[in-house]
Amino acid sequence: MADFLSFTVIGVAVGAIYAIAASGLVVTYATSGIFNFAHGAVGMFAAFLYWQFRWDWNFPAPLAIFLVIFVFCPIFGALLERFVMRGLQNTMEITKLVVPIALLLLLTGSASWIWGDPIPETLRRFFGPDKKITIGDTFISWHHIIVLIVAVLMAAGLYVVLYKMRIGVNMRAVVDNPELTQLNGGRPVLAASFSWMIGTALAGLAGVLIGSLQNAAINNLALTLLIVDAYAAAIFGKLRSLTLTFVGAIVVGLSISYWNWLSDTGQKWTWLSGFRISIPVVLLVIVLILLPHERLRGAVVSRFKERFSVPTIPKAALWAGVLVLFFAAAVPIAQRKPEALLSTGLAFGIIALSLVLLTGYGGELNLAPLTFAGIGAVVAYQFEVNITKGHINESLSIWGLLLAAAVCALVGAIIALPALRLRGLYQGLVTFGFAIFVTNMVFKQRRTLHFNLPWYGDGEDFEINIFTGGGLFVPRPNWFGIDFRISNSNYMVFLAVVFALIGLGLVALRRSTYGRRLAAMKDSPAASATLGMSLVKMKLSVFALSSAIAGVGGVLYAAQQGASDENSWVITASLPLVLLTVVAGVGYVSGAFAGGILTGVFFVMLGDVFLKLSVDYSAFEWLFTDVVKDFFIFVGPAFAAISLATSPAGFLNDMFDNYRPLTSRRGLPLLSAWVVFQGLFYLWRITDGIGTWTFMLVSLGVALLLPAIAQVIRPDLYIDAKTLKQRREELPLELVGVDRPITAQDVKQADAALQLPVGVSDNDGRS
Amino acid sequence: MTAVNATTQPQAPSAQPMLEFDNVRAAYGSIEVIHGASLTIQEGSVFALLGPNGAGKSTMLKVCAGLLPLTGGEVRIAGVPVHRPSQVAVADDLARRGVCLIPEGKGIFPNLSVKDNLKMMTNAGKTVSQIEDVAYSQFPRLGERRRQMAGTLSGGEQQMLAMSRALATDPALLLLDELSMGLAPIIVQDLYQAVGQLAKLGVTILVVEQFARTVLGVANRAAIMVSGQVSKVGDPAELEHELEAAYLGGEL
Ligand SMILES: Nc1ncnc2c1ncn2[C@@H]1O[C@H](COP(=O)(O)OP(=O)(O)O)[C@@H](O)[C@H]1O
Ligand SMILES: [Mg+2]
Repeated sequence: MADFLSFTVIGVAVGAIYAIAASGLVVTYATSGIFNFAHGAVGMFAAFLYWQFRWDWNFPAPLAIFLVIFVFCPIFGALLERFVMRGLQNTMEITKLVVPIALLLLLTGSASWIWGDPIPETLRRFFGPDKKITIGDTFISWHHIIVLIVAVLMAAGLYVVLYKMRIGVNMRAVVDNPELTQLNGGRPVLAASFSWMIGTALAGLAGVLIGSLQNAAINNLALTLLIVDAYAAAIFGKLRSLTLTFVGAIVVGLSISYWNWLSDTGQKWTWLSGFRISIPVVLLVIVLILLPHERLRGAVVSRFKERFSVPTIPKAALWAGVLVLFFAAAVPIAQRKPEALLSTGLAFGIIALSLVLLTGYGGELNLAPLTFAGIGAVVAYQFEVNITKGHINESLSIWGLLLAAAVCALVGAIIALPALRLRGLYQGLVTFGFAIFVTNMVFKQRRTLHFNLPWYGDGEDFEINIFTGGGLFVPRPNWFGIDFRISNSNYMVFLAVVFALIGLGLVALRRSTYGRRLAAMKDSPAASATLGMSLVKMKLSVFALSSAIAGVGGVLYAAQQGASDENSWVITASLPLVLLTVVAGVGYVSGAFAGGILTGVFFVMLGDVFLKLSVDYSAFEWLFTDVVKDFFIFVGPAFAAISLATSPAGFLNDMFDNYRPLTSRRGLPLLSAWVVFQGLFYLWRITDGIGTWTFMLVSLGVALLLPAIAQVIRPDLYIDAKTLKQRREELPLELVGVDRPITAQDVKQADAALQLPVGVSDNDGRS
Repeated sequence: MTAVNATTQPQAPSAQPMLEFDNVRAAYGSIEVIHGASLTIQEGSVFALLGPNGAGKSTMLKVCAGLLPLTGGEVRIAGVPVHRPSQVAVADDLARRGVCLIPEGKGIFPNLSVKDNLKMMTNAGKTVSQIEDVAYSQFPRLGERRRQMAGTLSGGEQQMLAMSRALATDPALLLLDELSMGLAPIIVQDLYQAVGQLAKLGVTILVVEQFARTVLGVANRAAIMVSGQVSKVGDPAELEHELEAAYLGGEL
């Protein structure tokens, strides 16, 4: 009984913290329609800042709290609203989703940059860890009591602000009708700014409370995810009702606490030890599945509309050949490190191809491709260990790879089930929760599970020991008489071939009947359902196929790394890949390539450039290594995403546009000249006439300058190109007004399309 | 009463323009819907803007209340330009300075209680109790329902709540958009009675309606708007026939 009481108090206290975090999320979502994925990261950042003030600089606790919650957080919230969120008001839904995710990465990256990674610092409880009071035979720590008091005060404060003060009435009015708010003399901008100040302050408060509650080392990702647990409560409140949000938060807190009680704080059922931290995301997914459908409809729906033609198969084959050739040509000149990086980039690219199919072609969302990749790697590893009784030195069997793909396909289809009735944000949250669940339950599984299977082995147990040593060893293949284990170069070319083949397969798939149906489903699920297509079949199959691709990519990535641990597959590793692929152009195979290379190579390479600089200019070493290099590694990808998220079709396509005229018949001589030049230059490098750096820089420079050079030599090519580009940018008529405002030009075009006489719908005709 | 007003108002020596539309152009996105409209409304008068659906009447009011930027021309209130062309909306400032637009159909916050709706009106400067006094004495039914969500009120009660802003915030310029839409005649009568009271107090009022008959009792001057342009200005009774022609012909 005493146990029950203290576990209840602890559960309510944890729930109270979730309530604080979740109400912040609800306040900002309600007033701006933007789901702040970075909410957890804001809380984490605040907790680190609090540690800095309180325990590093030894400020008194009240001062530290004041500085963090009442100074830093509101200012940060106001800036966030002014410079990020306000600009998102009239953008596509995908941008609304992507930018806050980029912000999450920016904050976790910044925390690593500022406080070091992985150097977690201890954040102690208020009044010390051991201060507690006793009621009967129940112990309650002071920290928990403080948490409860703070939560009650916060709830009361929020009530007063929202329901008694004019600014609160204004905030709720803006949700109802921003224009009418203005007509009443209210200032929507002020209300939005104020709600973001409150929202970030609440995130910060939750971060400080839960961070100190750990009374242990705080790790920035773990802390971020702890606050993310509150998302379940916010969804329970349908992102609107604060009362339901509070109820949901307490339910989450109690569930965790009672689970602790039942499982003896994880002593019992050790293979389920990861379940405790998974409870919130399990609840999140359950709530998402059970919540009435209509309730979710008004919320963020994200659609990835395709505006560009899919390449023809011969053209795609040509590009596939060029890609393989490029990597084959790199073999003689690339050194060990760049080779490894490029291979990693290619493996990421293969995983990103799963997004091209799922998101680019199918319009569905998966925020956790690396989770599927990890499952693939685990399956392949288990296959080697158990079925072939192989060792690290043996090679990857094709059966292991196929089994991995099959298992991933199955898991993907299962994940598709809840996703069937969800879209956009909610689908993203399901995959997000799934990633956290799998990480806790599978990738962090340290137990060896024994199964006595009658048909298996010679009476031995079938053992599953997923990450016993904290590592996973997947061997490389030894196929077609080529041993990819010895030579890194061979493996790199092998990955390029695999990428090219899967990419080619995707283009072919997109051009097939299935692909056209997929596109129809993406553009209008309702319409395609009325056309008699089975949406269920389509969604299940596209999820399954895309997960299989991710699984194959995961196996090859694990094999490239040799040994990999659970950190390779966590959600925070997935997010940069998703972001950079979306930013590069998720509708294209080239987008997957760029996404993979950016994630695996670009930012690491940039870091290396600065490392080299720091060696060459040792006086500025601190600047180049500690500041600039770390900046690029930790913060670079997020910055790239935030600044590029405004190019909805992906920046790669905008870049390709400049090259397109060269591939026309009249541009061919120029293109050939460049190919010959590059070939000769390459020969010069091979024969050691010049060094690798010179070769790389000059080649890259010429390639980037090529469109500019062409524009000077053959301006006529580009005049045509401009009109071509314009024609290609024409949206399908039904999307005009949805994706961009209607122009007078559109009206004329619509008239022409409907064969109306000129001027019938022309408003200017009279004046 | 109105007949007297209609003839004396324009000649009154104190009368000067309260609201001027000077060759106004306005657009939604890049579709222009007001193509150079000009109107002058004298201080203290009740002016009716009539015209068929889609003529641009509501848009004229939005421009005047600062919800929509201009693409050409000028709107002056008491001689002062409201916004220069292409400037962002300034509706909140204008509302605080006494311009009150009751938009058509959706003049209330459905998810706020009646009381919170009234509280929103305090942004323009009055206190809650002042506003509640006026609203509840004018429309007692609102007082009985002060805790109810405004969205659950009947259509007439919602319009009363919306009109409360006009009555309680003491505006200098009142813009009313299709007050009568979808309401029973008896309620329309009530509402226009309130408009009449404000007119007597000297508030300048611009009412938009589709049919001239609705405003015959209150307006002392009127204009017809068709296809984004003002086609005729004159006495409300005179314009009634012209309006019929406009509806039948659709064009000028
Ligand atoms: N928010 C809007 N976006 C685009 N066009 C609009 C919008 N509101 C009105 N319009 C168009 O502007 C024109 C004038 O509309 P409006 O001023 O509401 O007419 P009225 O009030 O006279 O019925 C119409 O053609 C209408 O379709
Ligand atoms: Mg109208």
